[in-house]
Amino acid sequence: MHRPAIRVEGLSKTFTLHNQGGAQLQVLRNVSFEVHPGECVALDGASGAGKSSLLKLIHASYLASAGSIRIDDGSGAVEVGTAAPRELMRLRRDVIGYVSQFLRTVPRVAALDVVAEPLIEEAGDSLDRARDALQQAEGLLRRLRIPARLWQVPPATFSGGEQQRVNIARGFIRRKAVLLLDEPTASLDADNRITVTAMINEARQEGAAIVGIFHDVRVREAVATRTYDMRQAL
Amino acid sequence: MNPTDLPAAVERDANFNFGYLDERTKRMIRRAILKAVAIPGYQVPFGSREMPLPYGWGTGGIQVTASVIGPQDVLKVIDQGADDTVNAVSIRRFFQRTTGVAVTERTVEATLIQTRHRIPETPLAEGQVIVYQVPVPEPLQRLEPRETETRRMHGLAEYGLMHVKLYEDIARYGHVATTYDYPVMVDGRYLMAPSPIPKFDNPKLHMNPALQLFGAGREKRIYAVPPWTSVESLAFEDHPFEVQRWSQPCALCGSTQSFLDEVIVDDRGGRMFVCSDTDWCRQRRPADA
Amino acid sequence: MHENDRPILRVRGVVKRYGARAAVDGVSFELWPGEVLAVVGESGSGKSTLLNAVSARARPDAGEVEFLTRHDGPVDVYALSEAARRLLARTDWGFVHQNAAEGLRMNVSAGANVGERLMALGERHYGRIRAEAGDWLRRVEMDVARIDDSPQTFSGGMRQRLQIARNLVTRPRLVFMDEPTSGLDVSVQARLLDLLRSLTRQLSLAAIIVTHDLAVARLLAHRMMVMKGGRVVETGLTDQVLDDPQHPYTQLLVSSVLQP
Repeated sequence: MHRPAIRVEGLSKTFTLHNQGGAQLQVLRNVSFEVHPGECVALDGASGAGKSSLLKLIHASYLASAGSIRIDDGSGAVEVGTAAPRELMRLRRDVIGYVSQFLRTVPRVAALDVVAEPLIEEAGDSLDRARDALQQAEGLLRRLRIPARLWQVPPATFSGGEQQRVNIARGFIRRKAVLLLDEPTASLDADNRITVTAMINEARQEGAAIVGIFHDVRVREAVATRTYDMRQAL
Repeated sequence: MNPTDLPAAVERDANFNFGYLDERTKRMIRRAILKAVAIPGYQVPFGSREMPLPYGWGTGGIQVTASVIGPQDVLKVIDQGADDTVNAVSIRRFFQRTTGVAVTERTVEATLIQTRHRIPETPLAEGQVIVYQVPVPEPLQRLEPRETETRRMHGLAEYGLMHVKLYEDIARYGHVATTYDYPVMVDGRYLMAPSPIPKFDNPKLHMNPALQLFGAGREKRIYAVPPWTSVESLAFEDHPFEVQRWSQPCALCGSTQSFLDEVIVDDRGGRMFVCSDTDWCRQRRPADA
Repeated sequence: MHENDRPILRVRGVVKRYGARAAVDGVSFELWPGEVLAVVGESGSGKSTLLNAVSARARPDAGEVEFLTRHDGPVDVYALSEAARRLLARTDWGFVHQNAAEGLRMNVSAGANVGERLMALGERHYGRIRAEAGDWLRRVEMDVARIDDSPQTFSGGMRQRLQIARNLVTRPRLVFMDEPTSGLDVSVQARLLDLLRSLTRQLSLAAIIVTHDLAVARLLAHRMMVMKGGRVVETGLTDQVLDDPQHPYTQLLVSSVLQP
């Protein structure tokens, strides 16, 4: 009954390095899979197998060389490869969440505002909704054990683990139908790993379609409903 | 030709064309004046001639006067309100010699008044013409030195910059510090420099029954305010336009309504305030004073 | 929100020649309300010429620039009367110059600089103009106590923030920026970028930012256009162009900087 949230068909990616004599670097070949709402697919494969590239292709940070990526935006399937930039921006705002290992910090924005921003942007001029966004951001930071004294501090000076948790909070503050997770627990301690695992499972149970890279076997086993073997991809 | 050798009543010198300028030049200037009257406050360029006196002495006003004066006119010339200063006397003699017209110091008797830096206190009447001598016709010149740009601003009625100047005055001094040549909006359309009259005189520009003509000789511009035209001094709602007031009346005639000059009366710092308009002051004093 | 369904700016086939050389050679793009577009390229790529052509500052030799006005729908900006075009430029548009002295009146106070657009639109209440100017100085993180100071006494970063306040006071919907952060110290640059980023988002400004600095584009822009020799060689979402550049020239640009 359910339409797949993500449908990848015959996807290939080759980088052409024009300034290296046109060298061709193929990272993915003929990848096909589907992810339905409520599923969490763990990408399995050695480093360099193209796992991160696949997430970036779905997120439209990379352009596919061949094949198709379709995302269900609730009213129909959008072809990522041919969608206009504006359409992709809308998809990213409303449908696709992407949590990478690294937080790209804006130098002077406080952690709380970094987390709340996706909701604030949606709030427009409504002060009530903006206040509500900040409350939700506080809740997430508290849950991820970021001490309150850091909330008003720009995260640039935070430790790697703290930055990653800010990034996770930002990625989870808006409920998204599609979640792309690139090593979300890489530098977390045990308690926070458990918290993030729980957050991922909650999102999935609420119907998110999740594709992730989870190096940590315990995390992978706790969140993945199945794995996709990247060796099929090259 | 020492001027002091001339008799008080100056004979017309027939060697000059009537009004000094040749008839073609007068026609050219009259056309500029007509255009200026048709577009109140708009600066009309004209072919300013070399006159037998330096720029800054009223060459613009003289050319305008010379172009409109007729044999039946009665001329009054004032400088800072007075009929007897060097500039006023010289210009009056110039027109007596080149036209032979009657002259007067009485505002009410004059049909044509040429002025430097004042408007007479006696209200002007319909049928009178007043000609202002203008050194700098462009009110935006100090704020925007490029003439290409100021002409565009006039063309598009973009006058925000003038209020910037007033804003600056209030921010710096608490009030608008401009006291002379205070900018005005003519007929709701053109920003105009009223020549360096004190802002005390600005209200007289508004809905004046007389025809007001402005001539700038060096800058080669003529502009006009036709009779009964709205002339509004720029201001802010919360800093309305105000004229100067004096704490004392004129020491000679007791007027409290006129623009007063401070006069030093001795070497010990003694001073008094008297009417700048000498005719006004004289008319108000007892006959024998 | 119907107006968000149409591009705020539609540029078609713009050509600008200097003599025989086309500085901009057939550029087309659309900009949507609230969208920030970075135009990147090296000096001489035509990016500043393009900015002048689309901001109605230099009539192109060919092509069309269509702006979606608040009340009259889309209009060809070069078909407007000069009066209408200038009115547009000082109400619904802003232009932030690289050199703040070009965008400011250096001989009048900060307050008058911010208030000028209001006065030009007929605001005649000194107290309100001053209050609004003070409010905008605060919004660009300037000390309101400097409201009567001349920009001559300001640092480069402050001048740039003043220029931004001067432009935004009429709540424009479209702002053009020409290298707004170059020539500033790195720390000052970062602060200005933050400010621009938060202002463009808060006010949902559409903006075109010309820059040679890919980090500026990364931080501020939703979309990027890469120019070379007067033509657009690549365009797309900012992260896509920077992370997976397709054109040899873009690859060269991206690989020439450290971690944009």
